[in-house]
Amino acid sequence: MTAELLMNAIGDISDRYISEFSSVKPKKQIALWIKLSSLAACLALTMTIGFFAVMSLGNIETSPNYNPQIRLNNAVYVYTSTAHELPEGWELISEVKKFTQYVTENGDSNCCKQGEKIYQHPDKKHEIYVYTKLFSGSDKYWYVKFKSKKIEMMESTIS
Amino acid sequence: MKYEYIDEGMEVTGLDDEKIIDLFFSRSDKAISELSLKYGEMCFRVSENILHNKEDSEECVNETYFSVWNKIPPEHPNPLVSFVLKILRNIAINRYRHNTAKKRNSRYDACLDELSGCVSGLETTETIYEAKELSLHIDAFLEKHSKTNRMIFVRRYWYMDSISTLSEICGMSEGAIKTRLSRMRKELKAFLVEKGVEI
Repeated sequence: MTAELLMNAIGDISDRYISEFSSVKPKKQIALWIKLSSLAACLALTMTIGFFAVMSLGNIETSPNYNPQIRLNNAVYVYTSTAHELPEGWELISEVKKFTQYVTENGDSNCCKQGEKIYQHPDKKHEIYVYTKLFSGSDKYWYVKFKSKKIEMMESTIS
Repeated sequence: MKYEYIDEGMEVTGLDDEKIIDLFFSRSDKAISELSLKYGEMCFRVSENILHNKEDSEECVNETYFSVWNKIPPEHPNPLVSFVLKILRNIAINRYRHNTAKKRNSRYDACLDELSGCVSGLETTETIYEAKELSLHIDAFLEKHSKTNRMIFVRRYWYMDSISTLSEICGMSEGAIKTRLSRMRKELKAFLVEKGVEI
């Protein structure tokens, strides 16, 4: 058999295959600079999102945070609930040292005012009460409960 | 120039095939112009692939239109595109054989060279019968391949596209296209032997 015969045979293949692949058209090429700038934009976006994700996960204490919180004994306590009276067994342990947006040092709070008293139960180190005007709606003082962040996160995961 | 593969259903712009055929049946002179509008560029490209010559290719395309005019009616081809392209391919190959006893430089030769690896090169007596039987075997061979492989094979050995064009159509490197084609030729040879074809 000759290659020419094979070529003739290929020339007579089913119409189906000929029409199936008959249409080709000039391709609109995307310029290299468009491809590169798209890639750069994607990279920049990914890095920005990544940066903020890392900051929010790993550096919570140093970021400005508008959730009411207090830093004490190197733990961050976040707002949980309020009470008009201090439960039994809770003892005065400290007071708010600085009202600041950044709770970076022990005694810092972004919600309670300087000098407001902090109470803790000897057996419940993950909770504190602060005698404060926070959320009272007036100048009246009451007790606001805070829980340490890890406990708070664990409880929200379980629920 | 870059090309891209248009999947089935994404038709070339122009009148419906059926309407073009109606124009041929009514012997309207619009038939040729509509046919040319829709498939002229495609025809020219195939012809140019074989002949490598602009003037010859244009003549072949015109000859094809004339042949289609003579065949429709009575014929009512479906699909029209393969009917037209088959006529064109035969005309172009015949023109090529007529023109070039002297020089071998077109893609037709390149394709012949590649395919010569699949066959013995010896003449046989039952040539016409063999070609028809062979076509059926090639149909069966193509059937068992993926759409991409089928396209590469058909575009290379039917449309005689260059390797670089195929690489652009498929979005693969030229090396990858050559490898696929080489593998397919080997498989075709084995397939034909298995079917009892004397190669």
